[in-house]
Amino acid sequence: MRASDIAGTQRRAIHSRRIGMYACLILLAVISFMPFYMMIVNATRSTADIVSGFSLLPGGNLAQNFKEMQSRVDVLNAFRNSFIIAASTTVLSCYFSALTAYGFVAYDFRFKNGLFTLLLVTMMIPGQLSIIGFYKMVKGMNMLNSYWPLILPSIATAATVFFIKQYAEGAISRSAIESARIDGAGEFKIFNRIGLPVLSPAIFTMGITGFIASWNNYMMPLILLSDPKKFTLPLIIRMLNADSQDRSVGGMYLAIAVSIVPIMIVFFIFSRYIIDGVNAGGDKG
Amino acid sequence: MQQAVDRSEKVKKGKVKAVRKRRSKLNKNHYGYYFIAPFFIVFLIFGLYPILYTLYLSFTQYDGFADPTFIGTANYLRVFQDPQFYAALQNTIVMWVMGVIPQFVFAFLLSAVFSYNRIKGKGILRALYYLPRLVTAVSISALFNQFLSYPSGLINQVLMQFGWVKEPINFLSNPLFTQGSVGLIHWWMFYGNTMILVMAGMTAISSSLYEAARIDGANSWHIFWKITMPLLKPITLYVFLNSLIGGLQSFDVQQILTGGQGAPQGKLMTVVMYLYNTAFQYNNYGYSAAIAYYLFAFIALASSVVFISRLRGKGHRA
Repeated sequence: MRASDIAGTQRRAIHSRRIGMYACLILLAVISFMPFYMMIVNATRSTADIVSGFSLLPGGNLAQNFKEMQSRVDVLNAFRNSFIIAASTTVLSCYFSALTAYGFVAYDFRFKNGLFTLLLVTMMIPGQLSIIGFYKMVKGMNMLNSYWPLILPSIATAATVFFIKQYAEGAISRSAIESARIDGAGEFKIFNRIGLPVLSPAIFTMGITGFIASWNNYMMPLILLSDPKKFTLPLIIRMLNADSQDRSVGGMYLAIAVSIVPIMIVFFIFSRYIIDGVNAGGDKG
Repeated sequence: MQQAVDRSEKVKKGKVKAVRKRRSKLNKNHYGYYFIAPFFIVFLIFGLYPILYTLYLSFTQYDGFADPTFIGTANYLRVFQDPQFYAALQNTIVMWVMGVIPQFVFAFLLSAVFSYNRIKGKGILRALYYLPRLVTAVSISALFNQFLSYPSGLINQVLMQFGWVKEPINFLSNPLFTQGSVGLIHWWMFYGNTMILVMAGMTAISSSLYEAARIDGANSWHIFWKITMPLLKPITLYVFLNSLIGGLQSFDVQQILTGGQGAPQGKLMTVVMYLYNTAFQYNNYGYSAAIAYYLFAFIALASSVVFISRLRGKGHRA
């Protein structure tokens, strides 16, 4: 009897410990998600409502907020600008990173290891070291307010090359390449026909991560773009945030939501791939 | 007999040579250079050249309009004695520490919870913890700016509603509170990311080690400190260095939260903000470039101190 009592208490103790643990985990999830939820709620409420009190339920003022937002700055245009830059950056960085990774895996050439080490070293250089020189260089080329200086550097994305190369080492078969050669295919054709499809899972993972990184990029557009028509979403948000006169709070929340919600959707569809990409970063350590 | 073998050996060698010759026609190894060339060319133009150009500018007086004039090491000597620079460095470090401590505590606790227990809904929880990391720091800062705003921001409304305060609080005018908020925002943004990295390390630890320890009568507490933590040292070092390097360059949150001026009382001015303002508001590009190199030296020094102390620690244990 006593033994079963003790077992019962223990079970209860373990049970309540589990409940406590789940409560903490869920609370933390709420803390992580609540700001986004409040953002979406407030994006649908009128400025007067937002200022007079908080609510957990959405309101019906979305259309009005949208009008207010667009009348102050063209957020949709910024959305399009951000998308153009992020999409071009992603395509370039994926294609050329795969090309570079394939080059390192499919061929043996002199200084191969040295060059790869050099590539890894470039990953460790802090970004702030180049901004002044980058600005002066772009200014000298008369390319301020152009998207090219934001897009072209993505051809050399060392982290993406590193990730795809790790994958390529297990995935690229030299005998398949060899037989394609005997059939008379050129080297770049072999890459496009055999290399790219085989590497596509790794390219996809890095593509999502790269798209989000470019979408969120702030420092470079801030330095290079001064024409409000060319502004990306982070620059628009900065402008709205700094403008403290006659503000439509609902419109402000909506503008922030416009910059965040697409990323949330991408994340909830592809979270597995994104977290895989993060994990791969950890394997370096 | 012997000769016959020799001859057949020779024939074989000849065949091998012929094959090799044929292969060399198929040897396309030099194509490797063509494949990796775009990366290195673009890196030279958009990566290395600006870095060297910054180095050159750091030895000049340059206002963005007239040509740079060479002034030697004057900019560097000025950084050494610039109280604003040291104040910014101090702020940067204080805010990094405020964010990084809770970030690591939560990352390790959560990883341990997820690794030692079978948790239902692990995938969705992990995703939710990670989500803030993916969002632009600018948008997050603007959002928190709304939440913290005075007098009718969300946080003041909640505090008043529950009767916890009588008067709304002007959070962003209090230096300590504002620095704490930046730390909190950084914690909120990054603990999920740190957790995923630590967890990757934890799942790599063989479960037979835990089982053996359990058989020897160790409890979860002992297992965590005696097995998990020591084996996680390499990944902890990696994550810590990453956080340090990122933290010393922090810019976005502070800039948005304070409208670029580091208010209140300059306590939110970070080194990179100071660098940015020096160049793009006060048009002193040469001095700004020197600050960039000074910060780089500081980051390199801090990283190598962490790295070397880690290597030393290894030597002692071995």
